Amino acid sequence: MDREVDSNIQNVATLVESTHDEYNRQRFVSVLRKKVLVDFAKDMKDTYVHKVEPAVTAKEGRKPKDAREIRKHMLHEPVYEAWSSLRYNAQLMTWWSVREPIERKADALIAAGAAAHAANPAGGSLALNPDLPIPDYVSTLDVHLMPGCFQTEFAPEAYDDIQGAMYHYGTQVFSGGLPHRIKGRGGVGTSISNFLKLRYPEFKPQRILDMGCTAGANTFPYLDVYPDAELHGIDVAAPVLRFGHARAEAEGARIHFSQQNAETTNFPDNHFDLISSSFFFHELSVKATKAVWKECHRILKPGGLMLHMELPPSNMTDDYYNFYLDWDAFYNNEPHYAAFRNLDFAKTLEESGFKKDKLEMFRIPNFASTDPKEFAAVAKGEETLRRDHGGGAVWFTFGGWK
Amino acid sequence: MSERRDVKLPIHSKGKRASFYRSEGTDQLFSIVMMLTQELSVAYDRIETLERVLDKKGILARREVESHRPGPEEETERTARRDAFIGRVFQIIHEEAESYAAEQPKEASRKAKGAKREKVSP
Repeated sequence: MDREVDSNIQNVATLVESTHDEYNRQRFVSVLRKKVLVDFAKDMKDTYVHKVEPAVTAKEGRKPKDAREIRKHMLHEPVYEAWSSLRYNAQLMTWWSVREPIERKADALIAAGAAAHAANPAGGSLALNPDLPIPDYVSTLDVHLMPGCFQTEFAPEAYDDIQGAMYHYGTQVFSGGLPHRIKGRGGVGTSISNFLKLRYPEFKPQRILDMGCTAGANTFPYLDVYPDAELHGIDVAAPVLRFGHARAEAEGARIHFSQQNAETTNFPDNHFDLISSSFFFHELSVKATKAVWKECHRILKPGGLMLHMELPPSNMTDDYYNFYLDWDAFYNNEPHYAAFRNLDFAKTLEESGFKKDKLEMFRIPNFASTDPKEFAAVAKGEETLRRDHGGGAVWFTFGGWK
Repeated sequence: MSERRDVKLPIHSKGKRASFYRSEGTDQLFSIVMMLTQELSVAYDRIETLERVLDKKGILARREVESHRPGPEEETERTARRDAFIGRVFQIIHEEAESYAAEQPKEASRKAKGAKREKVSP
C-alpha cells in the first residue's frame, strides 16, 4: 500500500535509539520472554501432568476440579515459584530495557510529536479532553506493570507522548522474541482485518472504530485492508493517543484519534460499520465491559459488525489453561482478568442488545505467521483446526452483527 | 530549537510487588539473579561485537584477546563501569530503600516500624 509519507517529519515510532548494550539488553528480554512463555511453560505443564495431578488424584481420589484448585496445588511447587518469578521479572525488565533510551530522547519525542501534529500531512486528527476522568481500572494500578501506565504525563503543558513511546517501544521488546510479528504492526488488527476481507468480501466498512487503541498499533492495519475507510481510535489516556497520532501522521495514515471512555462515547447512534478492539476488556471492570458492549450496539449501524479480540472465556478452555492464563490477574496488575473470562459471553452480548442468531465467535490464526492458503481456508470456514491462544498462534474474537 | 525538560521516568510500577516464595528474600534474590543473567548476556554480546569488528578489520585475531591485561587508566574506567553494573544488578535493594522515602507517609511509617522491630530483636 503506497501512501504519502512526509519524510521531513521525524517519526516518533523510530526516533528512539538504543546503545549497543541497551539494544542487547532488550534482545535478552525478548528471548527470555519466549523461553518463559514457550519452553518453561511446557516444563511447568509437564510437572503438573506428571507430578502434581497424579499426587492429588492419589490422595483425594479425584483430579483437581477447576483452575482455582490447580492453582492451590501449584502455588508452592518449585517450578511454579521459579516460572512465576521469571515471568514477573521479565515483565518488569521489558519496560526497564527501554526506559533509559526513551528518557534520553524525551525532548525529541515531544518535539517530533508536536511537529507531526502541526504539519498534519496525513489529514488525521487528535481530539483530547483534559476533563475526561481516568477510570479506576486504569488509574489504580500500573497495568502490565508498566511504570507510569498509559496516562502519566511528564510535560503536561507540551505534546507529552512519552508514555505512548514507553508502550510502543516496550511492546516491541515484549513480543520481539516471537517470530510471527510484523514490527510495529499489531498482530491482532492485521489478522482481524484480513480475516474479514476474506470471509465477507461484500462487507466494506466505511467507518471503523478501534476501542482502547493505546498507541494505535492495532488500529493502523485496518487502513492496509480498507484504505478508504474513515478510521477512528479512542482511548482514555492522552499520551498514548498523542503518540499514535504523531506516528500516523509521519507514516501517512489518516486516523482520527480521540480521548474518550468507551463506556460513553460522543459518537452518534448508528455511526460505525465496524467496531473492534484488541486485548481491551480484560483490563476493564466487568461493569464497564457490559457498558461498553451496550455502547457498541448503540453506535453500530444496522448491518454493522462488532468484533473484539480477547482472551477466550474460561468455559471454552480447559482447567489447566485457565489456571495458566489467570496468572495475569494475580501478578500482572490486571485484577479484572479472571472475572472477565468467567463471563457468559453469549448471554452478556444478548443483554447488550445483540440478537442471539447474529453473534459471532472466531478463532483467527495470526496472519503474518500463517500460510496464506491455510489462513484463507480458516476465513472461509473450510478448516476448523482448533488452536489455543497460547504462543499467539490464534486470536479469539467475539461479537455480533446489528 | 526544542526545550530541555530533563524528564525522569519512573522505575517502580504502581501496585504491590508480587511474591512467589515463602520468604521475600528469595523473591529479591531471584530478581537479582535475573538482572545479573541479563548483564552477563549483554557483556558477552559486547565482547563478541568487539572481537568480530576487530577481527574483520584485521586489527587483531580473536585469540589475541586471550592474552590481554589492563593498565591503570583502563582499570579506572573499568571500575566506574563495574560500579554502575552492580547498581543495576542490585536495583531491587535500592527500590525498597527508596520506598521508605516515598510520599506515602502511612505506608512508610508502618514499614519503618517493622524495620525497627527487626533491628531490636536478636
